[in-house]
Formats: sequence, C-alpha cells, structure tokens
Amino acid sequence: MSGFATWSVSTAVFLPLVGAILITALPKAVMRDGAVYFISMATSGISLLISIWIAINFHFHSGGMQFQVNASWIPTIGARYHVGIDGISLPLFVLTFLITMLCTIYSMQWMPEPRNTRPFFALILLLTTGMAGTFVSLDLVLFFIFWELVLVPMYFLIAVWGSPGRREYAAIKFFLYTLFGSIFMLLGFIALYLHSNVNGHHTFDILQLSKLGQAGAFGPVFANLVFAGLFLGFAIKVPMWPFHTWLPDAHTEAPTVGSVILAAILLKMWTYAFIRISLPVLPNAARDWAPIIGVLAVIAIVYASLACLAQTDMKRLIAFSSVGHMGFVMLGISTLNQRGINGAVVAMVVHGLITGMLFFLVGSTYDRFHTREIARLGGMAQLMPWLAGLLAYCSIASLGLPGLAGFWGEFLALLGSWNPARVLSGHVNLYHFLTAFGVVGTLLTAGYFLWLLQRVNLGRPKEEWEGHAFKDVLPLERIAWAPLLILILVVGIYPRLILDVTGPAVQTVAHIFGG
Amino acid sequence: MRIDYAALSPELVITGAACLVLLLDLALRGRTRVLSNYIALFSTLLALVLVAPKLFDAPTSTLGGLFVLDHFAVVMKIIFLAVAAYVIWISGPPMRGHRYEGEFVFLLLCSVLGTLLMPSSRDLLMLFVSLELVSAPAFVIAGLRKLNPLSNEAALKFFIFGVLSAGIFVYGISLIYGATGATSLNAIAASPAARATHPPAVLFTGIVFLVAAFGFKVSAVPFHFWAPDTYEGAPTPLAAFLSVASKAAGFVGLLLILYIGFPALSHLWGPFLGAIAILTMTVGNVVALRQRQFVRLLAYSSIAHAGYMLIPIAIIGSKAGIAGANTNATLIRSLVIYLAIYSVMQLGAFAVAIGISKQYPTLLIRDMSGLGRRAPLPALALSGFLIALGGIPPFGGWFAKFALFTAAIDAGTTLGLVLAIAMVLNSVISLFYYLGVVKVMYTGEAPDEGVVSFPRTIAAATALAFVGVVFVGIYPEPFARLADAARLVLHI
Repeated sequence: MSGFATWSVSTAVFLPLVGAILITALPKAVMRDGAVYFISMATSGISLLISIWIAINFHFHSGGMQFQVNASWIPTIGARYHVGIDGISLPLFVLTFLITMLCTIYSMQWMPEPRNTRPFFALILLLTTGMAGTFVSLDLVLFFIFWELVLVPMYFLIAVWGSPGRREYAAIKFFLYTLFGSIFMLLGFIALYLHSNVNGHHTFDILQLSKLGQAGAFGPVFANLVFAGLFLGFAIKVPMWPFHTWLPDAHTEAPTVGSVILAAILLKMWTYAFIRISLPVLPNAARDWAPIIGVLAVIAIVYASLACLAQTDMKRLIAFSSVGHMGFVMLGISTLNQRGINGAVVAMVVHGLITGMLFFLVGSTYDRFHTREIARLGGMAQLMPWLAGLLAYCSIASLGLPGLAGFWGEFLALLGSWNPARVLSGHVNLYHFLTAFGVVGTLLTAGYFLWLLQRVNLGRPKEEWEGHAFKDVLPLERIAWAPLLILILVVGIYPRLILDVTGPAVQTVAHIFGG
Repeated sequence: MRIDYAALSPELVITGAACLVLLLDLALRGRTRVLSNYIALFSTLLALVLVAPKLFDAPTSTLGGLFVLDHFAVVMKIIFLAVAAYVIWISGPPMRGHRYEGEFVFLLLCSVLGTLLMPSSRDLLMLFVSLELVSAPAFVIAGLRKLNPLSNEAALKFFIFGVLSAGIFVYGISLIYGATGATSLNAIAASPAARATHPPAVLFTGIVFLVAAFGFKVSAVPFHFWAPDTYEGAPTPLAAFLSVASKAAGFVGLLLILYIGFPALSHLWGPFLGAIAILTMTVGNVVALRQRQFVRLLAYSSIAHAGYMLIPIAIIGSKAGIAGANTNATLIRSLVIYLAIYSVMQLGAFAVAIGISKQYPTLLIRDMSGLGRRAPLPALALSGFLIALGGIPPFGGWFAKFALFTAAIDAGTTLGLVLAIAMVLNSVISLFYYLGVVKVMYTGEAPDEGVVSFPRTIAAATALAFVGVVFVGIYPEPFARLADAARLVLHI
C-alpha cells in the first residue's frame, strides 16, 4: 500500500481532533463564528472525503481487515496502535463523518443557546474523533481510549447546550450509566489481557484475541464471566431493556445536534462492540448468552413501542423508538447467523440515517413552535407543508415500509431469527416466539408512528398559533438534510449498497457459529 | 568507614544549597532576594542531573547500609527532584517580596532533602529521621503567613498532628525493637518474631503504629483531618508540595517498612491497609463533593488519590515464589507510575490555582465562574488536569489508573479484586466534582468581566504541565519505562 493508503484511516480519525485544537487554541480575534464554521466544515469534510476514498478503494470481496496499521505504542503493557477497517466498520466509519458534517451545517442555522460557538464545535469535532476511532480500533486499550473520549464531550453538549431545566440531570445520568458500563467493560478487557498468551506475552489485540478465543483458549467459566462483564458494559449503552432509562432523558434534553449524533452514531458504538469483540473473542459464551440477548431484545422492541404510544413529548417519542430499533439490532445479533447479523449491521446504518433525520426534524419543529408537546401541535401540513412532508417520509421510513431504508434491517433480523445459527439449534422454538413478538413490535411501531403523524401533521392548527408566521424548511436545512433523505430512498431501493459491503465481513463472523 | 560521596551527591547538593540560601538571605535586600529562588531551582536541577545517570549503575549502599541507592531509590529521587524544581518554580511569583522569601526556600529545600533520604532508608531510625525532615520544615512554612488566621490554624493543626504522629512512630519503633531486637528492616524481616505465623501482639501493635504515622503523612483516613485546613491556610506552593512530594515520600516509607520489614506478615497488614484504602478513597471523594473552596477540593481529591495509591501496598507480598516476585514488581511499578503521573496532574492544577490566586486570594470555586471566557488558556489547562485526575482519556490520568487497576487484578487475590472495583467506583464519584469545576468555568456567570491576570512564570509552568499531561495520555511509554526501571532491591 502506498503511504497515504496506510495512514488514510488515521488521518481521517485525527483530522477532526486537529480542527478541535485549532478552534480552541487560535486567538479570539481570528476565531469569529465564520472561521469556526470553516474549520469545522473543512476538517469533517476532508475526513468524509478520505473515508469515501477508502470506501472506493476497499476490496469488497474480502472479509478481513484492510487499511491496517499496526504500530508500537505502549510496549510495556503490550498495547499497540492497531487500526483497520472491514465491511462492518466501513459503513459506520463513513456515516460518522457524514453526520458530523451535516450537523455542522445544521448548526450554522440553529445554534443552540447559549451560543458560544467555539467550545460547541470543538466538542463536536472531539466527539467525531472518538466515534470514528472506536469503529477502527483493533486494540482493546485503543478502543477503550476512543470509547471514553466520547463521554466528556457528550456530557458537556447535553449539560451546557441542552434544553433548560432537566439538562443537568440528563447529562449526569448519561455520564453515570455510561461510565458505570465502561467499568465492567474495562474489567473484562483486563481479564482477557491477563488470560491471553501469545508466545509468552499478554495481548490486547482484538484479532489475536479472536484467534485465541476461537481456538478455545478461554475456559467456559472464565469466558462466561468476561462475557457478562462486556455484556453489561455494552448493554447499558446500546441501550438494552432494562438498562435503557438514561436514553430517553439524554436524547430529550440534548441539543438537536447532540441527539442526532447520539442516535445516529453513538448508539452504534455499543452494538458494533458486540459484533467486533464479544462474538469473535468469546464465541462459546456468546452461544450461551444469545437466547438471553434475544429475549431482552424482543422485550425492548415491544416495551419501547408501548412506551411510544404513551409519550406526550415528540422528541421523547423518537427517543423511545430508538430503544425499539436497537432492539431489532440486538435481535439480529442474537441469531448469530449471517442473515441476522447482516440485518443488524444494516439496521445500525439505516437507523443512523432515519432516526438522525427524525431528530433533525423534531429539532426544527421545536425551533419553530418552541414546544415539543404533541397535544399542542397539529395541522403542520397546512402550516409548513415541506416540514410536515419530510416528517411523514421519515416516520414511514422508520416504521419499516418496504421501498425505504428502514425495511431491510428489520426484515433481515426477523428473517434470521426464525432460523438461528446452527449452534443455537436447541433454542429454535424460543426463536420462533421471538420472531412472532418482533413482528408484533413492527405492527406497534407502525401504529405509534402513524398516530404521531395524525396528531402532528393532520387536523387543524391549534388556535394558539393563529397569526404566527412559520418559515418552512430553510435553505441550510435543505443542504443538511438532502444527503440523508436521498440515502434513505437509495438504500431502500437498492439495499446491496450496504449489504455488499458488509456481506463478506459478516460471513467471517457468522462462520464461527457454523454459518 | 568509607563514605560513598558520589552516591550521596544529590543530598549534598541540596544541603549545600539550603545552607547557602539561609546565609545569603541575610545579606540580600529588596528584589535581589529572588536570587534564593534561583539558587534553589538550580540546585534541584543539578541534583537531578547528578542522580539520573545512576539509573545505569549497579545498586550500591553506603553509611554502613543505612543509605541504599537502588534503582527504585534513583527513580523516586528523580520524581522528587522534578517535583521540587516545579514547586520552586511556581512558588516564585506568590512568594516574591514576601517577608520570609528566603526562609521559605530554605525550609522547602530541607523538606526536599527529607524526601530524598526516604527511598534510600533501610532502617527504622533512618526512616524516622527522613520523615521528620520532610515534615518539620513544612510546619513552619504552613505558618509563614503570620497575620492570616487561616495560616495560623494551618500551622497549628499540622504541627499537632505531625508531632503526635512522630510520637506514635517512635513508640512503634520501640515496640518493634522490643519484639525483634532490630531496627534495620532486613534484620527485622529475618527475626523469628516477624516470620512467625502468629506473631506477638506487641509486634502487630508496633506495625499499626507505624502505619498510623505514615497514614498521617499520606493523609489517609482517619489521619487526614489536618490536610484540608493546612492546604487552605498554608502558602499554596506548600500545599502543592505537601500533596505531591511529601505524600509520595510517605508512600515510599510505608512500602519500604511493610514490604522489606514484614513480608511474612502481609496477611495481617494487607487487609488492614486495604480497609484504610477503601475508607480513604471513599471519604475523600464523598467529602470533596461538598467543597466550595478550590484548594480544599484539591485536598480532598488528593486524599482520594492516596486511597488509590494504598492499593498496591495493601496487596504487595500476598503471593510467594517467582510468580509473587513478578506480581510485586508489577505492583511497585504501578505505584511509581501513579505517583509520577499524579504529580504532573496535581501540580498543574495547583499551578493554575496559584496563577489566579493573585486576583482571587480566597480561591472559591464560585470565583472561577466564567474563567473559560476570562482566562481561556488557564481554564483549558485546568480542565485538562481535572479530567486527567478523574482518569478520563486522552489526558494522562487514565494510564495511571489503568496500570494500578491491571496490577491489582493481576495479583489474583480477592483483596486485589475488591480494591480494584472500589477504586473504579470511586473514580466515577470523583468525576462529579472534577467536571463540576470544569462546568462552572465554562458555563457559570462571570462575577465580573475582564481578563484575569495570570503571571507569566505560572503560565509557562502550567503550559509545561499541560503538555506533560497530554503527552502521557497519548504516549505513556516513557513514564512506564521509567517506572519499569524502578526495581526495589531487598538485600544489598
């Protein structure tokens, strides 16, 4: 590989960090809002271009890691700077930069109070580096660093720029849950490290640990304990029922851009970690745990849709719908077969597109009405036809109408769950039940989304809005939203756009469990 | 008896400089008194240059085995001297023109001398001398702001606690001497009483007394009550020194006594120390949540960190044989890593506190409201130090915690696991108050507008610490290597 190809992944990951440093370090006289926008746009934009370049030069038939860099970092503890990309991480990697750039554009229009652009964009760029880094780390220490890097910026985004009132509570709750989870994750990582043995040395390398794990180097009791630790760490953040209670608060109180990033990318870090670490490193424990994960996932699906029916706050409704969608992702993972995991990965990406877009729309609705209460909205189709139309489009995509992106992930996950991996053959009946309940969940999802549309878009505008002039979708909003809207349609019509990328890598994972 | 002056050279340089400063200060008037600060800074750096190459020499001992220079001692002296140089550097602006400018430097150098002797001590009496040499000058410095009632309270509390602990220490020595017939740590370890499965009660009482005396030094709960008041009332540079160098010296002494003197009794003192560790970190963190004054907050946070650093000492020696030796080496390494990285973060935080104390002498957290706009770079640096203290990457603290955590789990004992979990849970609590300060700086209403003046010396020192804390966070290998070199030799 040429020099650029070798370092392209690292460049894309760290460029936003450079942007963040520039924004904070340059003197105030230079750093007017325009310059901040420019640096933010430039760094996330260039990173996006690099990630697209990586996607173009990616070998789609290979299920292994590409664009790897494996350099010495902290030899004393055996941690290495090992990054690489495969078909599972590539879509998420590109998505990270895409969403960040769109968020930057959107914030030029709707900068949340108290404005303070410099720290706001510096934090978003820092967040980007953390998220992108997580998706490409192949060393547990490196993974941990990037993972934790996300925590502090997100905390401040919620605590400072969130909606007044409960933002501090939500920020602390997010922080506590996440940190609590990462403790158990860290315990698991260190246990793996201390139990690993490659030529007499311990290792943090995910690929080597996977090899060891698949060769049966970790005993059943140990593997189950470690899996439990990792499961707790990841499950809190996915979030799986019953660890989900931080999510509605964090999503609802976060500024629009924060919710978008949280929903579109952050949540995927945790499900990604399941596929990247838990499954390949501890396959036998994964087999034992899969039915439990499946059951929890289906509970999340049904529970979240019921909770959505009861929400009076539009943003909170979308937040709860995320819990349900992530339930489908976890259901897909719990099947341990190719279809299911493929469905999970597709659902991750697609949820990023659709729910990210929905949070944009909710944010814009709020910026116009200054309320998110569904009861006070109504007749938006008359007031702002474009905004209402987009809300309808995305809601329908989210409920999984065939032809739009939301359909494929959930369809594949459900399909996979009917016929789980061979190692799970003892639980086929259970999985049949899971499929059935999952289908009920999709019905409920359709129900609450349609009801939402009925209440918000249709009918007559409430009397209190008489005489108000509402601006329909603004030019900057159009620019920020267009890529997502187009992708939702394109992926819906041509899902191979994602499936062809993820396929071989997913096959590698599914192969561990007998296909 | 031949004396190995080369081995003693750093101590001799510091002693010489201390005497020189004391005499010179009598002759100097006005602005020239700042010379004593420069002499002290120069002498610590010179001593650093003298001691560092000894890392490549074989361990030696002199003064009839009272003074040992193994690699552990060398590494600790490097850390102590670097810390001392930094404290002297940042003490320049706040002490300038002070009535006792020269005396401050002299006393500080005496205390530094004590810290240098500590890691080389292998005898209870020598340890006692080192301990008192660290503490006694600090009693005086704490009271240097004579007309300030807080300073008087600081000095008096510190003095009473210090003298009490010195008495307890001596009494402990006498008990141990009675039970073992020795004061040399190696001789104690070899004595029948210290090797018995059921040692005499008097011996264990002696150990408890020694732990109590060092508990005062490292401000472990329940011997911590002096720390917040003293830190708040004393000149802030002294607080920085106490919370870093003096505390580290306490850990070194405790490690030497327990690990070299009583390895066979680790099943007795291990859980005892473990309980103190949990108590210390929990009390420190929980009480820190309620602080309104920044130096007091740092004091309680330093108590919490003392709890973390007690972990390796509590676990050390719990395994026998070659596996045990490896575990012990890993534990000592993690302690050294922690001490080194903790020094950088804590000193950085104190440097910022000293910098803004000119405008806000009370240093209330409320005063720091809106600092992010009024002093952007110091606020950014302080955020870095606080996040590092909380152990969040990419700032240096994560590696310290990570090393300690790994070492504690690697020991494979129940105690190790319990302590490791207690530590991470406590780290979560600690983030509340660290991030609380950061949030106040960036989102709070500024009490008044205008740029906060920040002395240039302090700004440079802050920048250095900030670079250090970022560097360690991204590339901790050099610190790990330094700690790796710190091999403690038991018999010499």
